[in-house]
Amino acid sequence: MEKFVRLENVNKIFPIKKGVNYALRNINLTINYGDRIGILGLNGSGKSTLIRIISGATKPTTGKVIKRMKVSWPLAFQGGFQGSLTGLDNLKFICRIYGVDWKEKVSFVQDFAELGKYFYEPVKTYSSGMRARLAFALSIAIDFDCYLIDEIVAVGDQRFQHRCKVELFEKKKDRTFVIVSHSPHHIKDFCNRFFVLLEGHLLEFENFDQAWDFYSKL
Amino acid sequence: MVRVIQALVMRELITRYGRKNIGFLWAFFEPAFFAFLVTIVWTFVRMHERSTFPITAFIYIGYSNGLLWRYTITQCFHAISANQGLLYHSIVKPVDLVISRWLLEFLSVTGGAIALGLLFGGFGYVPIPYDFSYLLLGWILMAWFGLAMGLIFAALSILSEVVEHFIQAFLYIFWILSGSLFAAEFLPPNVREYFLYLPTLHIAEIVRYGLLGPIMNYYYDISYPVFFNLIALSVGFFLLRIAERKIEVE
Repeated sequence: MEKFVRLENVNKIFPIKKGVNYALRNINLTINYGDRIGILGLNGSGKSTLIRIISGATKPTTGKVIKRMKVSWPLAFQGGFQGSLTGLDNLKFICRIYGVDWKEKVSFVQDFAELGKYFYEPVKTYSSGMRARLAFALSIAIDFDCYLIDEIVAVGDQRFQHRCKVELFEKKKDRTFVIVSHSPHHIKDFCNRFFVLLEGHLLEFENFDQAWDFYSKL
Repeated sequence: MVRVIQALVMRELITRYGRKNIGFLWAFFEPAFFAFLVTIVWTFVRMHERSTFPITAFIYIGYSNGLLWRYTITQCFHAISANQGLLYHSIVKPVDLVISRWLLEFLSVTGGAIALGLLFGGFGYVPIPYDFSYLLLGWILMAWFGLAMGLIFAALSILSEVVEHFIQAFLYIFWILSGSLFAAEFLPPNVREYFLYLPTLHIAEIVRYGLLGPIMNYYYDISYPVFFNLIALSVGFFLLRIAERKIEVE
C-alpha cells in the first residue's frame, strides 16, 4: 500500500474575543513516504497548528486529512505525561497504545533519556530538561513512518541535541520528516522540499535558496 | 481501539489506586452505609415487627445498581479535561477516554456490589437471587444506560460551560427520583404513570425482581429501557463527534 499523508483544503479557525483568527487557510499538501519537508515560518504563522493537524491531535475546521502512514505525535512536546506516573509507567502506556512490547524499549529509553533512578519516580518530580529527554526518547523508541518535529532546537543541551540528531537524522534518515522552524538550521541541510508558512498560507519553493530568499525578506 | 482502551484502563488503575480515591471501596461502602442506616431506622420504628419486607436487600440492590450510572456520569464528565494531554497522541480518541472510565466504574461498582451482597447475604439480610437472569439483565441495562449518559455528559462538558454548574444538583435530584431507592408500587397510580417515563425505574424494578422475587407488584417493560438506551447511546456518540472538533490540545 502506498504511504502518504494528504491535506485537502484544510482551514483552521480559532474563535477569539473579537471575531475569529484564521490560523490556516486552504492548505493543500501531499506528503509522500521519504519526503523531508522543511517549513519556515515566523512566530504565529500557524506552524504548530499545522503540525498538530498533520498529527491528528487537532481537527481542521473544514477540509480533510487523509493519513496512510504511521505519523508520530509532534516531537519536542513535553505534555501528555501523567504527573503521578513514573517514567517507566509512561513508557508502558505509550508502548501499549502503539502496540509495541514495552520490555524491548526499556533499556533504550533509560539509556537515551539519562534519567537514572528518576526513571522510577513520578514525572512531576522531573526538571523540564528531564521531561523533554523522556519525551524525545519515547518518540524515538516507537517506530514511525513519519516524524513531526516542532522547533527541534528547543530540546535539551548540546550533547543531547547531538544524540537526537544521530538517532533521527542518521539512523532514520530514510523515513518521512516534517520539520517546522523559524530558523534555517536543520532545514537547509536535511530537507528536500521547502515551504514557507505565511499568515496561514503554505507556499512551496523549488529549492532552499528561493524559500530562504522569500522568507528572509518578510 | 481495544488496545488503547486497555492501555487507558491499566493507566487509570495505577493513578487511581496510587491516590486515595479508591472506586471499589466507595462502591462498597456507600450503599453499605445507606442500607445500614435505613435498616436501623426501620428497626427503630418497629417496622420489622409489622412487615416481612426485606428492606436491607431492597435498598442494597437498588442503590448498587444506581451507582452504575451515577459514578459513571461523574467520572465521564471529567474524562476529557483530566486526560486532555493524551489527545496529543492522535491514536487516543475522546471516545476511548470515556469508554475506559465507564469500564472502570462498571468493574468497581460490580465488584463492590458482589462483595457487599456476599457480606449482607452471610448475615441473612440479602437472599439468594430469585432469578439470576433478571438480575443480570437489569445490571447490563443499567451499565448500558450509564455508558450512554457518560458519552452525553462527556460531550456536554466540552460543548457547554453551563453544565458544569448544574451537574451536581442534577445528579442529586435525579438520584432521588430515578427509582433506585423506591419501588413503583409505593407510588400512587397517577404519579407512577409519570415516573415510568424514567428508564431507570424500569431497570431498578427488573433488578429488584431478580433479587427479591414476587414479594410485591413490579412495574416494568423490558423494551422501554432497551429502546431508550439505543437512542441515548446514538445521541451520545453523535454529540461526542461534534464536541471532538471543539477540543483544543494545549
